[in-house]
Amino acid sequence: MPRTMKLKRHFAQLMDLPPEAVMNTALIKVVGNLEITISNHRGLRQYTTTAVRVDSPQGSIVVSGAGLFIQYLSHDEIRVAGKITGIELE
Amino acid sequence: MTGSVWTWLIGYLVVRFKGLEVERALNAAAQAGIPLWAVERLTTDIVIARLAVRDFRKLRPILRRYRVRAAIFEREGFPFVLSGLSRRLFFIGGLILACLIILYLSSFVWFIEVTGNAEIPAEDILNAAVSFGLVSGLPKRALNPSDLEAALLGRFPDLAWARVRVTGTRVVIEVVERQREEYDPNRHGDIVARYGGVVTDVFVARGTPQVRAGDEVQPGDVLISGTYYDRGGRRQEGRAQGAVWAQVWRESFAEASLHESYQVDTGRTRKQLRIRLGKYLVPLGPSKPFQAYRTQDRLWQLKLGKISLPVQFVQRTFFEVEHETRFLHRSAAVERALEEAWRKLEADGVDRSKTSQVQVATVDVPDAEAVRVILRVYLEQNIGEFQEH
Repeated sequence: MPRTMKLKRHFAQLMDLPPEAVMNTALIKVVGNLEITISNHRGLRQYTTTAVRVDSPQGSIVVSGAGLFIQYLSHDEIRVAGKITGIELE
Repeated sequence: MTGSVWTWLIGYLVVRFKGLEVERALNAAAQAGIPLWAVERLTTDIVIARLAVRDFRKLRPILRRYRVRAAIFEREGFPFVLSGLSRRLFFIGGLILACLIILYLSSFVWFIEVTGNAEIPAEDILNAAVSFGLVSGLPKRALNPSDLEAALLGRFPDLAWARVRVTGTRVVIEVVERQREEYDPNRHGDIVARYGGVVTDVFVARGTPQVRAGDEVQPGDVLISGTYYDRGGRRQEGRAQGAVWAQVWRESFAEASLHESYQVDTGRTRKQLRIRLGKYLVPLGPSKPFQAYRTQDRLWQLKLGKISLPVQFVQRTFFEVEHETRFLHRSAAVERALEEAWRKLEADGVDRSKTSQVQVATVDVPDAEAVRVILRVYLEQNIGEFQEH
């Protein structure tokens, strides 16, 4: 982890701030196996009904499953719904 | 915001994107501040997405850059519903007009009903209500139920209670009649003979007996007097109580024709639809399709929830009939007249099973081609009835 990132993390912990707000990192929220919301993403890389690959500041996030579809897509948030079977951080 | 009422209100488009770099185009759109929702992958190069109407123009440079073609698939939301309706102005106008007419007509009284009456005919109560201003077509705001209730109670002393209830376009007059007073010891009077006959037994509970067994009495004779003398020998007036049985005879007569007219259906029928608007009846089609007929009605009442609308549909079926006459045997005519005579006696309180002797006389009525039956029955019954002083 680069030195600036470490500093930001310590600062966030010290000030009790949400890390994704300070460190420019993705925030992933999962609702059961039905829905996943990724905030602070860097764009949609790949989209099929079985896999959705999203870029993030820390690398790619691969959501795999069946019948996947993008419920919402904006410049800072992407929400994928369907039957989610796996989430992989690359 | 997506999928919310707001997106429907501002309107949105369902757009089909086709190209090899669809994901990149969608990314660029999102980065350019164009939110997309319900993005569905159809094939490897086709994606369907939804976006606000106002954002569609902003897509053009992005689509050109990534060589993606976009086609509007569907238009959804309130602005499109509105523009669709604007092409049917007459329909919308008619709909609004119909609603307004129904709303206007619903502010009147169209149907009046009377419930709860037993002795007082409903027509009398309805006529009284009409005389107090409650007529079909009266605006509901002009109706004052409590005034009408008071007026009805004033007009009919036998009414114990009355309520005027308005439900939709229907006014229901609910009444409760007074129970007939069976016994009131404060009313002084005698027991008198209702019918003439020979007294067989006297039972006195209160008062002074005026007859004994074996006496012959005429209608109106005092049987038990309400006047009596107390232990001090003072004359008192009270209410006579008791029963006086007598052997009485009762008579009635009835006639029956030797010819009987009856209807036969010819099998021909006609149907007519009638629309009842309040007190107005609009028949659709001829109202007298045959020379002789009988009718059968089926009724449909239009309702809006629990509110009865002032519109009724009536389907009237006319069955053509022919009148035929047949000769009735004398014995059958006698039987019919006898039954009618019995019916008259029973309506007057005679119990057929308690008669001790029955006499039947028949007389022919030649001019009318009929037979007359005179029925006389003997029975023992309580002939006393209270008569107030």
